[in-house]
Parts: sequence; structure tokens; C-alpha cells
Amino acid sequence: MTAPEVKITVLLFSHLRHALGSGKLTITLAAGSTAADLVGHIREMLGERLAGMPMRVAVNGQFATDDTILQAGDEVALIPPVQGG
Amino acid sequence: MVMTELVEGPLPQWAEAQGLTETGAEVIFHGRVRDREQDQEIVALYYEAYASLADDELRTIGEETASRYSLLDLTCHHRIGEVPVGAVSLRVVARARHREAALEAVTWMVDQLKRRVPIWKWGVLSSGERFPSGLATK
Repeated sequence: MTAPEVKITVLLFSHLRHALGSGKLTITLAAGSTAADLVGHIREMLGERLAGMPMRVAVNGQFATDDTILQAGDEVALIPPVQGG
Repeated sequence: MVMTELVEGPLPQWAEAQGLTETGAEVIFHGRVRDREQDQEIVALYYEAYASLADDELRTIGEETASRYSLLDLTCHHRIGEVPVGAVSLRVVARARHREAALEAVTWMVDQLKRRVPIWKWGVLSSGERFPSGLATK
């Protein structure tokens, strides 16, 4: 039997967008995965790149905590240090 | 009154307000695009935003600033998209009864904006190529 999964949309900005070559990814995770799990997954994709760079997570337009459980269809933004002004 | 806005394209023309009988100080800050970014000559900065959250965070900071410094009113416009060198990318206008509050409010607002609003700069080279700006927050 296949383990249940959730498909989410991930928005990437600035150095994350540049490093991964896209501003938007669709990622499938195991059901019950958290925001921290997603960040870990993205860091694996990055390898050595941007190591140590902090990332905040927003889910559906609201800042989330590490233990926020991601749901199918969520739009998750990974937010590197900001630079406005 | 607090008004904040992310703007695509040029900012609205600045016009002197009339009839501000309580206002003793009006401080206007214009942030402009410099011609160098990370030691490279650029023709523009491209401001990328996570718009839905940036809108909310900018408004929250505006409200916090107005409350903290007892401003009479505050407006803030931040451009997103491509802004050519020399153009204004950020305008903050604070009005207060006295100058100390208005001056300090603008400094605090810009500092908070740079730390909290999900907006990022990309340098734009004359070739059109873009590169993400450094990770410094100031």
C-alpha cells in the first residue's frame, strides 16, 4: 500500500529562486509533513549552497511555525532575509 | 490616518498638502536607486515581493509607527518591479505636531521595513541580466 502524500506549491524568492532556477515548485511530501520538514527538503536540494541562510515559512499568506502541518493544496512561501527599501 | 501601498510603476507625484493646521513637522523620505550594487554597475534594481504578505506587513508597520510616535498621519509607498537608477523606490511621509517625533518615526519605519517586509532586490545589468542582492538586511 502506498503511504499517503500531499502535494504543495512552494514559492521561492531572491537567492532561493536564483539557486533553484525557479520561483515556483510543486513538491510532494508524506502526509503529516511540517514546515520544518519542507525546509529540510529544500536544504537537501540546495546541497552546500546557501548553507546557514535563515528561512522563514509562510503558509497561505500567514507566517507559520516549524511544526505547522502542511495540507494538500497549501501554498508555502520560503522567505529568505528581506531587503526592501 | 495611515496609508501604505506597494506600487508597480512610478510613484504618484509628490504634492504639498494644504490646510494642515495641527502639523508642525512634515518629514519626507525618498529612497533612491544607486548606480552600483555589490560592486557592479547596474541600470536598475528589480524589487521582488511576496505581495500578499508584504502588503499586510507594510500596513502593520505603518500602524505601529503612527501609534509609537503619535503621528497625525503617515503614508508609505514602496515600488515593486524594475526601478531605474536615480528613481525613487520608497517614499515615507510622516506628519506630527513636533519635529522630533516625525524625524524619529521615519527612521524607525524604514528600519522596520528593511527587516520585516518580504521584498528583495535584484541588480539589473545593462545586458538585462539580474542577480540577487547580498543577504545583508540594510
